[in-house]
Amino acid sequence: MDVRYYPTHRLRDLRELVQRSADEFGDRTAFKELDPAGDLRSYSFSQLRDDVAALGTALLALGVAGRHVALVGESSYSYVLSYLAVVNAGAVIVPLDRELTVDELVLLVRKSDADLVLYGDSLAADVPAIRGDCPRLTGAISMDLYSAGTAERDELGVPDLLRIGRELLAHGDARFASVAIDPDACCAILFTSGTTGANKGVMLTPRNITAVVHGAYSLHRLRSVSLSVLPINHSYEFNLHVLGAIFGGITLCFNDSVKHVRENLGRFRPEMTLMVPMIVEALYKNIWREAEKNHLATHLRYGIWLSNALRRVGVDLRRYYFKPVIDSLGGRLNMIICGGAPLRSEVVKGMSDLGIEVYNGYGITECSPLISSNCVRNNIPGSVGIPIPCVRIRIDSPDADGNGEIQVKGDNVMVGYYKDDDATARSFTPDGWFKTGDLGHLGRRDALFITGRQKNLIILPNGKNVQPEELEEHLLASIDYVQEVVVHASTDEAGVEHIVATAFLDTTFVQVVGSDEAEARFKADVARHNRKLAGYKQIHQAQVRDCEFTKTSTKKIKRNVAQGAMT
Amino acid sequence: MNMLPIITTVVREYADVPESAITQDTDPLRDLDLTSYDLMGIIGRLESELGVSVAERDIRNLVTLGDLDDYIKARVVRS
Repeated sequence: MDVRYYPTHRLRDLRELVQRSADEFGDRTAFKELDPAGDLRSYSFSQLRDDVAALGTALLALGVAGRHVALVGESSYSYVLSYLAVVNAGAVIVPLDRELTVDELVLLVRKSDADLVLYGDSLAADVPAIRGDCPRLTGAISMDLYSAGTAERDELGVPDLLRIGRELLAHGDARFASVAIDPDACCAILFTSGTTGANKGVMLTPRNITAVVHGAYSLHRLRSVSLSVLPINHSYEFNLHVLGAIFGGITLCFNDSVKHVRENLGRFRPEMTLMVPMIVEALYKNIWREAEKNHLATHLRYGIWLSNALRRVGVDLRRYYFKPVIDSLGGRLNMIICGGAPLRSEVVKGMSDLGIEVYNGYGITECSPLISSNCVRNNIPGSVGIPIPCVRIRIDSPDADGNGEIQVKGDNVMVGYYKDDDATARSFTPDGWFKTGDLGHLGRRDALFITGRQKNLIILPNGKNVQPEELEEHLLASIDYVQEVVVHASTDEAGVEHIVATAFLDTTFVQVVGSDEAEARFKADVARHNRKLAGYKQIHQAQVRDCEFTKTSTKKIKRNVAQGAMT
Repeated sequence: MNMLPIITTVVREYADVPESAITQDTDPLRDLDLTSYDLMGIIGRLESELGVSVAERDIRNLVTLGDLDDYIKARVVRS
């Protein structure tokens, strides 16, 4: 069923997005951020359009059309500007995770065939090493808008290119405005997870990306000021939050670091934000921790009971009763859209009781990423909402309870994996449906319920995905006495998933050093190995077993049997 | 200067554990069941209290509170 609660415009591409927002919202503030000195900087929708045109013109003069451009850095106006200038200049953007190590970044820059890299300040020290290992890279451009300029760098930065672009435009250079944009050609390559054979480059088109912006606005009436806290390279944050904010005339405020979320909630006073379960859980836990610390927990519980009783007869005093709680979150926050991983329904209800509505959604990078979302008009507890318009969902081979693989068809579905026809073919059914690998069913009011996943993928509460095979390959290659290892997720009492490595060690090694020492060494080696990994991939628990894993007839470890025995 | 007492005070605002449970060898994620988001909040608090800056790209190398203590001490001495 194609549900649209609010009428909204369907964009052709991201050039129309920038132009339309400048026309409609003009001098309204589009972005706010802090510069390195801590001063507030603001940029309007008109300035975004003008800066995108200037930077795009300069990039075209550098010969960027048709090239692949890697983009890695902190959330900032310059990042948004760079992304839109590259894509609208007819090049392909490759957003990379700034938390990756240099080795991991090198692998992805190479794999994506990037010719140029645009980097944020925090990556500046690593750029020479990345360039040294990526001979195809012909240039590296700093996105830093606030430091002295070229005098401190060997190469051009975004401020220099903006100046050059403005001069070219003033002299009548019309190349950027006349770039032919094919809405069905790949404009972005996003890497899913992994750094070895497991990682795949998802190719998205302007049609894919604009489909989810349209879908989100068909279900949600969004607020006027939002806080961006999630990593900007993620499709969830960029396609939905950043591009969605530009589309809707929302002022998007950049949180300068996850270290400062609370301060920035107070500084920017957002009405809404997009989050992952880990952050929502932390906010909720903190509310109760503060209440306990100040001996107000009983008072708060009574207030919730009274407020809920009044709501049942149509009186909503949550913003009044729980003003101190809401003030601790900036004073205006009333809407959180949550995705990336499952969120406990107790937290959704608990936040709602206090006056902050949390809407769970579901997506996957291959679907740009949005597939379904709860919204104010249709919020089904425990579900991930209804499919967005233009997207069809079917459940493949449902069991007696109606659960089967969730398969998707629609304008949001990627064109394929970059240079990986086999993986692309495996991801689609013969009749063209994308196989998400997630299990679920469609329930009441057409809402989607997720019940599990077919793939081995570990989905952490911060929304990051980890491919266990990648970590297993690393452990087997770097610890010579590990004979077999299975990396899997383990769920703790609070329902939070952690990464666990369980190994069967070489029997001779165990006999020589003794079983206690062998286990201690394995734990120490895993800890050492962790230091070579991005933080979210680090193994939380290392353990050994005294027998081999059960195998299939082709001698592959039966992962489901192994995990079932260990969790 | 030993920063561990200050680190311990801030950590205990996030983890409900006795002071004795926190040592140089404590891994906050593994031993105290804190999340990476909690850890970032702890580091943010320490930055403002101690006037030091901890680069986000360095945080992956700070496995134990002893690592964090050493990192902060090195920067306090330098500044």
